[in-house]
Amino acid sequence: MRKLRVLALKEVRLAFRDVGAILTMLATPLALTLAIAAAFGGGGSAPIADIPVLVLNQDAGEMSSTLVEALLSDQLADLLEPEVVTDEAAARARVEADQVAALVVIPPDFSARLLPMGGTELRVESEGAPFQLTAAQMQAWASNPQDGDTEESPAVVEIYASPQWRISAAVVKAVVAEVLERMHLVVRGVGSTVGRLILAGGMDITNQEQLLQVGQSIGEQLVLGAGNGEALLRLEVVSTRRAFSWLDYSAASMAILFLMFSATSGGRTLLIEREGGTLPRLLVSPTPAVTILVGKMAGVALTGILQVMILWGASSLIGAYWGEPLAVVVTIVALVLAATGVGALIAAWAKSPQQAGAIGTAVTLVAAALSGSFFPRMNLPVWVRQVSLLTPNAWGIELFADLQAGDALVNVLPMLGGLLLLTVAYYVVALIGFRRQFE
Amino acid sequence: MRRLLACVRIEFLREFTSPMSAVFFLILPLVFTAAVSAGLRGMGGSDSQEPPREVEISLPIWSEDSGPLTQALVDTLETAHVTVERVEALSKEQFGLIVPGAMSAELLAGSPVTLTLQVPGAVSSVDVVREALRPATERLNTAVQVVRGGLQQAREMQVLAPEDEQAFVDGLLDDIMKAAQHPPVVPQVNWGEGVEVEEPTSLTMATNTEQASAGQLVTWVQITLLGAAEVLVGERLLGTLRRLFVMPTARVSILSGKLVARLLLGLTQMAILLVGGALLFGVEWGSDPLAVAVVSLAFALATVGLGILLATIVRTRGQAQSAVVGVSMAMAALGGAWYPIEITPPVYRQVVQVLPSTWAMRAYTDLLARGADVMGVLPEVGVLLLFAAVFTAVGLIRFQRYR
Amino acid sequence: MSFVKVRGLGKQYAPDGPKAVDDLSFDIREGEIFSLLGPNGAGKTTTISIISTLLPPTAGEAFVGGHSVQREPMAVRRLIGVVPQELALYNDLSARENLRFWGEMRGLGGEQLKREIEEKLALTDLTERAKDRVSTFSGGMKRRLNLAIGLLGNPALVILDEPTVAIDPQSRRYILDWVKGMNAKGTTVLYTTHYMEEAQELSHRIGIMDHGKLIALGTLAELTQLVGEHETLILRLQEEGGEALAAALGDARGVTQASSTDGEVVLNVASAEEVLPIALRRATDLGLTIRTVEIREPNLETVFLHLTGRALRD
Repeated sequence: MRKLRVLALKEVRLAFRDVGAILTMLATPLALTLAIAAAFGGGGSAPIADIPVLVLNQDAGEMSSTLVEALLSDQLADLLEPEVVTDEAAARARVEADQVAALVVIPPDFSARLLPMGGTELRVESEGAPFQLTAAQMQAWASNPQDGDTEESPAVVEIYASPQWRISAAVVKAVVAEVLERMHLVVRGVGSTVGRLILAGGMDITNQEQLLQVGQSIGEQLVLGAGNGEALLRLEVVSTRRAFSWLDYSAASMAILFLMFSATSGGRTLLIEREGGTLPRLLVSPTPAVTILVGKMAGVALTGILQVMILWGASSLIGAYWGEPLAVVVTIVALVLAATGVGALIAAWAKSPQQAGAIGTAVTLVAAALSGSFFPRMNLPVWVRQVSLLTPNAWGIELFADLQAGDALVNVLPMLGGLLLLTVAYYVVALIGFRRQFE
Repeated sequence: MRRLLACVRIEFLREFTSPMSAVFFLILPLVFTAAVSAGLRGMGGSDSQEPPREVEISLPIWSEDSGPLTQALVDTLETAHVTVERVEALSKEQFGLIVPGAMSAELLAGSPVTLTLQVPGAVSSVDVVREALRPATERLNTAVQVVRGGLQQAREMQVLAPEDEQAFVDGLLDDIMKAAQHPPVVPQVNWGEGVEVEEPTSLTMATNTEQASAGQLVTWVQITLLGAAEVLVGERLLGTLRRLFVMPTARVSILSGKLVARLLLGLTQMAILLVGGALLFGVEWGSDPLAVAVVSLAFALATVGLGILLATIVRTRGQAQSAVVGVSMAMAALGGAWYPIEITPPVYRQVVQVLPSTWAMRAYTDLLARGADVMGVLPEVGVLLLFAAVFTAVGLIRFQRYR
Repeated sequence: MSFVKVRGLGKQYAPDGPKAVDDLSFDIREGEIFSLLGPNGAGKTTTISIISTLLPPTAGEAFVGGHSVQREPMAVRRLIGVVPQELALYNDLSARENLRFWGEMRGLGGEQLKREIEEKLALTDLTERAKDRVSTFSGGMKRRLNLAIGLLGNPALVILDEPTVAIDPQSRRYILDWVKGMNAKGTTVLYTTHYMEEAQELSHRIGIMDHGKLIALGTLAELTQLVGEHETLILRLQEEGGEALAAALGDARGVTQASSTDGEVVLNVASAEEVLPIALRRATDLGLTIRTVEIREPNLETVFLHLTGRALRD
């Protein structure tokens, strides 16, 4: 036991003597945290904002102006950065150069299609003002409230988008769809109301003036545009456990990825010592092989714990939550032990430091891909998730997901136990390889 | 020239000191590609032979509302590909939507109503559900407003008997919901000629398959090519660097030899990743192989140049390893390899243009999503080559004084 | 004809720091074996690092074959072959691969390179192990390969930096014989060592360095003349007390210098015969017992002691 301590302390001293290496090792987790913070704006889900979008109105009617004004309105000011354009070719070129997310093209028949039954003029004064339908339109609807279900395929508002701005384009589409639907339903709704009033006997279908007046009156109570009069129906999201947050997920999964890199390259010290000649000397001393192996990895482990703790602290400052502190500490220690086990395993079976390095890198990347460091774990197929449980990465992501959702230490003890078993397995295989190589 | 080739040769010899190391060199990128494509398949629809899968989400709804609005809500959700499951009860631990008992009546009377979406922890589909619920609630809001307006008008005109009001309301609501099924104008996304990409299923962190493939390639390439940072430390420890310096061989040749060797090794692995991925695992790398090759070469040059520059800076193996891991991961993350860069603030997008990884991601995404050809990615290739030139030049200058 | 010229050479690693090399000036004649002798830290390695163009001097200049080491390093490197003190080998590669690479770095190629490789392998008795990895070689074999590489291309000047440190006697013999053999064929040799016997055996001329300065330069005969006919008397004591005895003898008649190291009292005397009885008496007075007595003819050790007051092997 004493020898173990001596070896471990020697390793730690050696590891911490190289100031340059230490600085890089500690600076990197911080830089990564800043990267995450910058990308996610510190929030839970990624807030898409300030989407640059161009608007081209090819329609002469009034309904299209309403759409344009909706896109330019204050309510969407945070989400969109719209710009009205007139040169179609130039606008398309800007999309193709990825300078803007999308170009919204309002077709020439927009207003006509939105208001079938007639092409008579419609006056819309400004956003929020009541609109008017012609008497002819109302009469037509009145006589056939269900009309309008044409067989014609719908007109298209083209959203010419850049594949580099895929999510933004989808957001623009959603916004446009919402505005379009509102306009459409209001128009149809007013018409249908008038129709049903006539059917109920409240209005004379031949009395044009009255029809017009009623239509206007109803219209006054509705507001077109992206605003909504009174949105009576609201949605509230309640999390009985802590809600999922991309920031939390990324902070933890990045820490694990980084830890695996450090641990697998740290295992190389074994091989470097063999090259240097100090390892054979150790081996002929009356010290059992397992003590040597464990003692050497102790330095790597201590460094790993320090690195992850720093990431935890730094990411917490920007709002990431890792779980209950005690549970987090225990999980970190367990993960570091497992990661160093992988490092020991690779070093014990590799033939040279270069080979160990190459394998370590590859193993880490593969493990990361399969476990959910690069793709969200919950979206991976079940069999991939199961296979990935051979790696510390997967266990880490699962454990932190539970802790972040609100589980206490006692809830994750079974998983920690499983991880510990895996760690022991790693070290056993490492020891076998170690003996073969060095004895 | 002979000396340069000798330096290149020795790097290869030292890299492949045994048959096993050659095996690892060739196999590892394939294993990685396999893992990546497994992950990509899991996200749906990356395989060109299969049609894109619709993501089906299910949402349990508990409602004691007997009015028509709940059914209207359900109908709307189902057209948005949400499978609604009406349940008898919903405990606190369960995921689902709770509709208050008198929703229809209250809304029609003009009182606000709150739907509660209960999310017990990490549910992956919660973002998609929220996004489907938004247009549904908006539709209902519009419908309620119209119906209320009509009802008020009817009352003013006194054309309806109280017992007929319900029928009036139901009929109007029905009209509106039917109208919603037949919009006369719809928005449609057009990505450009010849471009076939999928629309994201979620409006938040959607990792599309093209970005994921490119991101993985960039991550792998950086980590392995930046490994060039160790070339000088190793030689110094062996004592051979001193000997190299007293040889009648220019330092430029020595460092260039290492750079070329690392580049060739890296390009070989990239080729395995690209070709192996495409042939064996159906990973799509775009429609123009020449363009892919040009971008890859430029990116490899920039990265290896940076690796060589790092080599002249680090003094110990520990520093080299830390630098490789740190720099490659930071550049990958910041450059958009691990999340789509469009979700980042505009300032961020400006700042990260100093990284070669940003430009590589941009180029690859253009290739994969747009099917761009060489001309289309020429700007990005140019920038990458500029990075390569600068890094290499600085590295060579530093190496003149290296001790 | 001077092949190497060193004029006022100086090296200071830090602006206000100590001088590793201080105002060094000497010549090496073409075809001679020149040794730089001195204890560890005397500045020998720094000197040859400058001559081999590895380090720039901070003062003075040096020339090899007429080329300045500072202004024409490439020309100098073409004329020299260096055998460093630390092994400089690629352990993962075979002896032949090592030789091939370094030969190519020297600018050799084709048939000439092949001949060179085979010749050096034969010379160093490594032909049978040519295909084996260097990591499987014994220490002595590695040293021989290290040497062979330095001789590739048969350079005009071969610089050997303490080539016999920590090696077995057999390998050391081998190296010394080889240096002599090389030189017999006309190669100029610059050899650094802190072993006096080697310097004596090999060199045509010797430069003695201490604390960065050249304190003596000449043939063995010229150097020993510096200490005149003086002999060295070495007394080994039974017990501690060397310093006391040395102090007591310091002013004795016939003693020019007295010092004590490791239980040995070293006396630089005009005549050992005359001083010995005095020494014995003084020892008895101090209650010390002399175990053994050794009388040495003047040699470089004596010279060094005479010049610096310290033993060479400190």
